[in-house]
Amino acid sequence: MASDTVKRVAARVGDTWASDACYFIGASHTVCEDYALAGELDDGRPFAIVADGCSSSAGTDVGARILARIARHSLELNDGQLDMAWVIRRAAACATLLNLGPTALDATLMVATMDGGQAKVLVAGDGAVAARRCDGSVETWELDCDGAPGYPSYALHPARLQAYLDQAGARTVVHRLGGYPLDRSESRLRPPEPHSWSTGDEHFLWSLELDLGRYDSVVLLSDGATSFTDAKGQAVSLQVIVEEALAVRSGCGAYLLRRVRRFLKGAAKRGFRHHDDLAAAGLLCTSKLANEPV
Amino acid sequence: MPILNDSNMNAHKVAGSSYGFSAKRIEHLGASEYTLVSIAADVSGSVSVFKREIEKCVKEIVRACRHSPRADNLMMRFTTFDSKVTEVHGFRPLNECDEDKYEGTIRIGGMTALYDATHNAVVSATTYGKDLTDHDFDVNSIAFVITDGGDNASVLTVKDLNKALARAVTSEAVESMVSILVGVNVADPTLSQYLEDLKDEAGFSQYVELSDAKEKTLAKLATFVSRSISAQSQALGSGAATAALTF
Repeated sequence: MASDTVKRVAARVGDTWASDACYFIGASHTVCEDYALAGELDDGRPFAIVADGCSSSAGTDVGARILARIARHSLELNDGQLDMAWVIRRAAACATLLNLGPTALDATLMVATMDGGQAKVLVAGDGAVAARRCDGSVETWELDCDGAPGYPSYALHPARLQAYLDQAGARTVVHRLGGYPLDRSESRLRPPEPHSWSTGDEHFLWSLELDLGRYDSVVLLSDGATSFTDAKGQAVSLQVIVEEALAVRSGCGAYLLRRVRRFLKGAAKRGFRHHDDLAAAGLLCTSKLANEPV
Repeated sequence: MPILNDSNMNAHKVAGSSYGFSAKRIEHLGASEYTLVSIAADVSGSVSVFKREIEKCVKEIVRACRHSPRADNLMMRFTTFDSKVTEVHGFRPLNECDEDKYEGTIRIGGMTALYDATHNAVVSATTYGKDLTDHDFDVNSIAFVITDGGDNASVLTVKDLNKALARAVTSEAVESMVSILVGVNVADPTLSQYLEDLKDEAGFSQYVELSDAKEKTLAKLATFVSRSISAQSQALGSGAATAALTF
């Protein structure tokens, strides 16, 4: 398990935000191919990033880290905006320098940043986004690509991209509140533009904007969050996982790492296991939490 | 009571006691699990003969613990007691405990507020431990009370100690609590029996008796204390306290 940097920042007048990230190897894995990163940009805005490497492609533990680090760099260079086309080209150059194979960058990428009073989330691939409303209720957006996520790395090789779009290339997004479905969208993905990736349901890059006046916490989770089984081998719902991950009491230090670690320990005692790697990165409004008793 | 000259420390009150404690602010902690170590040393008049040895012993404890593989997960608090309890420093990570700073910390006083000091050592660990646990840290604790005599100045009673120690063990503030009463320079069998009885009545985990306070004996105590701390720290996460070590 690991965590990367936490900073306390002021994103809106009167509000302070913290960020944290953590990742844990899955029960059936020998190498953790998930990676998560969080911190603040040079201008003080917090960010959170999750990358989930494909377990059947070689070197994706490194590839996921390259993508995440370069995504952060992109945010720094572009006033908090993600230039996905630049990220994937830059990542390919790094992978070449490291003599990694062509599939090492096969990883999903999830990014959350703050812009004014909004949290902006971008997802290439699958995973889950969870946001806790100020009233304590939890919303989730679960992105499922039926086991074949649209990795940004496909854009580097036209043949691979076409093969992916022909054989898979679908994404379902289920939006829930308190575990109950609010809406569901199913899309066939379009190929990304070479120089500037569009965002939207039918694009590789899915986007979400959240009004931070309504939420006090946003967490990005790799699809390992949907790989939990209980003592009887039954699937554990995403709602159970996100409610635990969002049940932080303060933004002190490595708050998300401690929260998820505590949950995993308790879950293990109940016979829960997560078979896939699990990564989480989040933004937390500490000033709103400060008004709540511990 | 806490002397706060460090903005990274917070002052805390202890319910039922006029003494409080200080501890590192949670946002400044780097690890996600800690063993809280409390050391309370008797500095009543009778200790004056071997005060230098006691000081050396405490310095050796700090030095030895810094070589523990669990050094990054230890926080230590050191108090001295005579008629009153004095916090030399509050709970702080071991890497912030400089052995040289313990020079001159044993300042000989008057009587012996053994119960007040024990209560403060135990409850401070329980209180801070609860705070850490509430913030998802994994915590256990170990407390050492080093004395050469019986209580003759406390406001609190043995019953209060018993409650504090029982609460430390049964509450979920810390994963486990080990409490060790150390009798130093115990030549008088009456004192020996008193401390044995105190161990049982108050509910200490262990009583260790040293028949003298020679440098070699206190060096052995330092080794015992640091080994016990290391064992309790390695037990963190197991749900249980470490087994008592032999002195």
